[in-house]
Amino acid sequence: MEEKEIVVKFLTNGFQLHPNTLQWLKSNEKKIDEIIQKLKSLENPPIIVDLKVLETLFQEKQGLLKFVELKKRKEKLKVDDVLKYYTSRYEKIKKMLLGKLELPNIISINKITPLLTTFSLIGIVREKNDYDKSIVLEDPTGEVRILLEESDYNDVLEDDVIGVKCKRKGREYVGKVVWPDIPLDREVNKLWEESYLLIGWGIKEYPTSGKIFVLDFENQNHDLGTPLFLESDKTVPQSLKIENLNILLIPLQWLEDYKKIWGVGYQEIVVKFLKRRHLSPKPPKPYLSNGDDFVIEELPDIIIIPDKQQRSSYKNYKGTTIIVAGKESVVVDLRNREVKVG
Amino acid sequence: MEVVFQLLDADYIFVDDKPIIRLFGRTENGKSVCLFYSRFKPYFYIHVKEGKEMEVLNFLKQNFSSEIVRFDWVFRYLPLGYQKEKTRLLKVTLKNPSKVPNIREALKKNKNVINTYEADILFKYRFMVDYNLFGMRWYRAKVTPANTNTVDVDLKFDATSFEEVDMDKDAEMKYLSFDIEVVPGEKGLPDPKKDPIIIISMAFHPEYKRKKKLVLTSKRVRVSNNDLLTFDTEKEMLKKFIGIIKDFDPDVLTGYNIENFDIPYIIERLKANKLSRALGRCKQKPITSKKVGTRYRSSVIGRAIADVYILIKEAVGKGLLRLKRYGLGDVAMELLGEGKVDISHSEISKYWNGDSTAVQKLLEYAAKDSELALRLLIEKQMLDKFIGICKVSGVLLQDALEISESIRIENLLLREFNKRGFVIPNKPDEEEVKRRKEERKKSGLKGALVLQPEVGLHNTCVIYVDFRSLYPSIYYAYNIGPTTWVRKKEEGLKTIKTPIGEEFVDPSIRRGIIPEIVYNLIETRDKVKKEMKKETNPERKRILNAKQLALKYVANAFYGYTGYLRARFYVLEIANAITSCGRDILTKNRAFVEKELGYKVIYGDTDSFMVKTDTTDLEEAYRIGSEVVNAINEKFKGVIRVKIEAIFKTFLILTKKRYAGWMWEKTADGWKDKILMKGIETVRRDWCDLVGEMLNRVLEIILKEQNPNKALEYVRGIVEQLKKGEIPMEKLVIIKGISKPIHQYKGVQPHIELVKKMLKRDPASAPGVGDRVGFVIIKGTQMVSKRAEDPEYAKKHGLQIDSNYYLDNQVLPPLERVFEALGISKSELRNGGRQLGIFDVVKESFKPKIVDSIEDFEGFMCAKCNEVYRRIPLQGKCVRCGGELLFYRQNNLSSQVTFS
Repeated sequence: MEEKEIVVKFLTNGFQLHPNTLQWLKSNEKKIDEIIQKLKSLENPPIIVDLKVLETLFQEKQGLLKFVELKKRKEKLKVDDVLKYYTSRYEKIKKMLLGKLELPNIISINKITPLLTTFSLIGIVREKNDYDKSIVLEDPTGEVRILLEESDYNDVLEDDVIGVKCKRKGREYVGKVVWPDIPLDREVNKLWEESYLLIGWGIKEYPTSGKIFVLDFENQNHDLGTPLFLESDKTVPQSLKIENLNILLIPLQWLEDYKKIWGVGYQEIVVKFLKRRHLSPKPPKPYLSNGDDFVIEELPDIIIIPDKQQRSSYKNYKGTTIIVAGKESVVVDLRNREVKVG
Repeated sequence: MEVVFQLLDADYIFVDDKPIIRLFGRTENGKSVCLFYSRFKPYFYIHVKEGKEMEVLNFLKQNFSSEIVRFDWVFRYLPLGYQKEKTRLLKVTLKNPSKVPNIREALKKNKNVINTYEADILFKYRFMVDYNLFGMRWYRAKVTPANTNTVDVDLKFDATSFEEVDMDKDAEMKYLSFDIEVVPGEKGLPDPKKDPIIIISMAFHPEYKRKKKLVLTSKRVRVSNNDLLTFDTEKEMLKKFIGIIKDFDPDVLTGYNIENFDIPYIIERLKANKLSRALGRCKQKPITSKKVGTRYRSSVIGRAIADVYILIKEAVGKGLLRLKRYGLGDVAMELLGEGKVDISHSEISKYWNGDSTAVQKLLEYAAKDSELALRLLIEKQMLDKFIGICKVSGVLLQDALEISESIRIENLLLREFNKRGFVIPNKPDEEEVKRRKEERKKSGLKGALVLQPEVGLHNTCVIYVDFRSLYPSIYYAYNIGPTTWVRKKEEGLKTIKTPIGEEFVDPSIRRGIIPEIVYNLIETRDKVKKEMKKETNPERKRILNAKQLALKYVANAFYGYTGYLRARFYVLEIANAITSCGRDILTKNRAFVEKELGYKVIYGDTDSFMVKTDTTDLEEAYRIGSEVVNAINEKFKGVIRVKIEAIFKTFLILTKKRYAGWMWEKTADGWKDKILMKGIETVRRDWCDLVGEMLNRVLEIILKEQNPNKALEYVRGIVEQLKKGEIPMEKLVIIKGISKPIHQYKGVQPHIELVKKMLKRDPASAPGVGDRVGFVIIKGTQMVSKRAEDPEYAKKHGLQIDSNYYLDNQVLPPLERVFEALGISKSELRNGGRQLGIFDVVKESFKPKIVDSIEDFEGFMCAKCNEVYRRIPLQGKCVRCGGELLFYRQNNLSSQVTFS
């Protein structure tokens, strides 16, 4: 059915369709009649039907689950937007760092005096100096140059918000980077009921029992199981919730730049993201608008990296399962968080 | 009959085939004396190969029979290395002291001779040592009047015996200060062979014929002056000069730079005028001036020559004085509060040939020179220290003024070794010195330990712990010395081992001579100091102070002696052993203080270390210091003794050997404070005054107010003033001297280029050789050296100072080092801002345009000051000036980006 036809059908039945329903309705043509019936049978039928409405209709049997962009592109950018972006990043990550034991005696940069021999700072990296492996760390009160160990230096990126435990060494400061990271007492989220998450490219096999959620990159049309939908713009990380589980999807494109910088595999890159609790130290410019939504505030339980060329694999980092969805299908048992490949 | 005298000088003459010792001095009643002693002959020792005694005796008899008086076989201990038994030596006594070197050299080549000992001792000292006579001490001699015409003194005697007399005070010595003026033939240095002396000025203490000063001129001048004696010729003038010396009969000849200039010049002029050069108390022997290295040393019989310039330089070298310039005018101004008369060297000719007013001024100028030198010597009691050294080590005053540590020590060693039945080695000849150099290069002489300092500003009290005379303590604790050094290990020999492995016999077997000497010096000094504290009579106190200082100098001279290549007792292994002990002790002390007492040692250098406390209260720090010191003295009892030298309220360390501190000393009248600086040059000749001023002020702010930011602001303020041309020119004047004629200078030097300019402008007033030129560097396009200008001229013509030159070459370099220690970088100092990055280049050459919107952006730029940022700073505005930040791309600025 054409989109226009769908719209007309709903209209004639007294419902205006929100554009965000169109794609789904197109893929689920067969359900349209059912939906219209359900809508009519509601006590207070809505005038405008959007995805949320459709979701609630199907929540019992299968939720309408969709990945949503973490952040939207903006067309116009003002200086203030960018400022709010970085300030928000700084503030959010600072909160995560404040309580850490590895950062004793946290002070602001303007409180550094030649008398202090050890202290900690929280700041955003302004500069990296390759010749002596030092960084310039900035906070709202000032800047300071700190020497880092090679491994830390190679990890850190400009504009990362980090904690640094500093020690005075002669006339300079030497620091050890402390990342916000995932706390040790993090709860591993699971579902109560028997449920499975299927990830793959053209999934044909399903588990014999339990709730099924399907993430199929090639075909989003599954009768059996709840399909999980992706936003059309697949260049930005997207997230969705399955009950209390946070699922994050990171497109390969997003990771390419970091592969060049760090020279490690995709899963490793994701681990580095988790450590710094940030998905994109260097987002594309149109995303530099109010609030930094790439800060990982709510910890994802499952991170999925679609990569058709690779073999599927998975890795666990402090309670987050990182899955490379490759050639083979992957099944995640959501009751015990076990992963099966193939 | 008897005479009591203070021994000032000694020499010998060879008369009738006999050497006769002459002792010069002054009696209590102020009479000058000369005592002759004829019953003493020179001798030395030969260590003969076993079984070759006859050969050596025959050799000597064959070749030197006319010189030798007698042979004796004696037993002495050899000096280097521990030996249980004495060795049999051949003592050769001669007639003529001057022949000893010949025989010594001949014996060197003789293969039956192992070594010679004491074959290079000056005869006068051979005598003094054997008769236990010390320079500047008092003696009662049994005498008979002498019938001789060889000396010019009040009293002449033949002496037969000497006995030391304990006298508190020194004799009333007579001092004569003199200064000559010369007119150079051409515009250059005066030539003593051609250019006559025109003026000789003299100053006396006490008065000479009721005169404090006299000026002699070599031409008749129409000036009314009571202190003036005029003559027709230079020769007449010189004759009078000699006559006055003879008549006044001074003990000390003094002046300013007389060794290098006045005396050599006078000697030449006396020669040219065919006059006697016997200016001493001997009628025959002339005054001599020898070139030693780059300097001249003069000597004259029976008198001492004290060049105040050399004494001042030594005092500055030892840190007792701080001076930037050594000109008599500057020194006198600094120490006496009075300067010279204002005539520059090159103007002397002008004044000499001018009218009577000009000549009058020139005479005043000349008179002032000799007067100031004399006043410095006497009012500042500059000889006290040297007189004290004579009394302790035994050398004569002239030799004490030689400023050579080894002379002082070796005289003392000779006495003490001889006393105990030891002989001392000869001085090393060039071959031996070479061998020592090679050896040292190969195995290296490890120096003293300097601990890695904690660079930066320490603002809690720091205790300055002084290792009281560390090196003497080492000598004593380890019994280190040439006579206790174990060269061959022996079964059952009790030894003390030093950290590098060299061993020395235990004191129960033999007490080392050097340790004993050093120990006695220190013990005596302590006693004298105690006595001095109790003494109320100022004159007595001064004498005691001179005595304790002399004891300290001589004791300290032992440090480094065994490592001195030309020392008689140089032994590489012993020198290394000593420094290894020093290092060991310092290290152990530090470990003890840090690990067991729990205080941090932030710096340590050979004989002192700094302990950091965490209190800011002086009394508390002193209490802690006393605890620390007592604990150390208890733990290291018998090895070293430490004491609190002072407490620093604040302490700034730049690097090893360079620090400054706000020092507080506890005295009887309470705490006294001062800023102590080490290795930080606030006084350097080729800096302008602004530098010293800034450095002192900066250190003061940092140390006393502990406010590095304020110091930084102060510097920035001065930098701004300098850039704007607001610093008074006087503070920017750099001074350099002209040491040779202009045309002799190769290369381009600023002050010389300036002189060339000045010569073109007004040849009469341009500075000449011997003058010092003050200049400033002005702005311009030529090279720096060509931009030196006379400050007066620059002021008159409104020329601008090249502030960059002053910043880069004068002001900032020393300050950078200080601020670096505080973690403030060079660029912050210079630019007053953050470290600028690549964007600076953009910033400099950039005129941006503000537009409504741009399509993308490269970064952010301040609309006010053009400062560029890759990412917007968290502050949200320009960090430098607080201005508004805009997106920027290429040449455009905008507050908005619109993505396509």
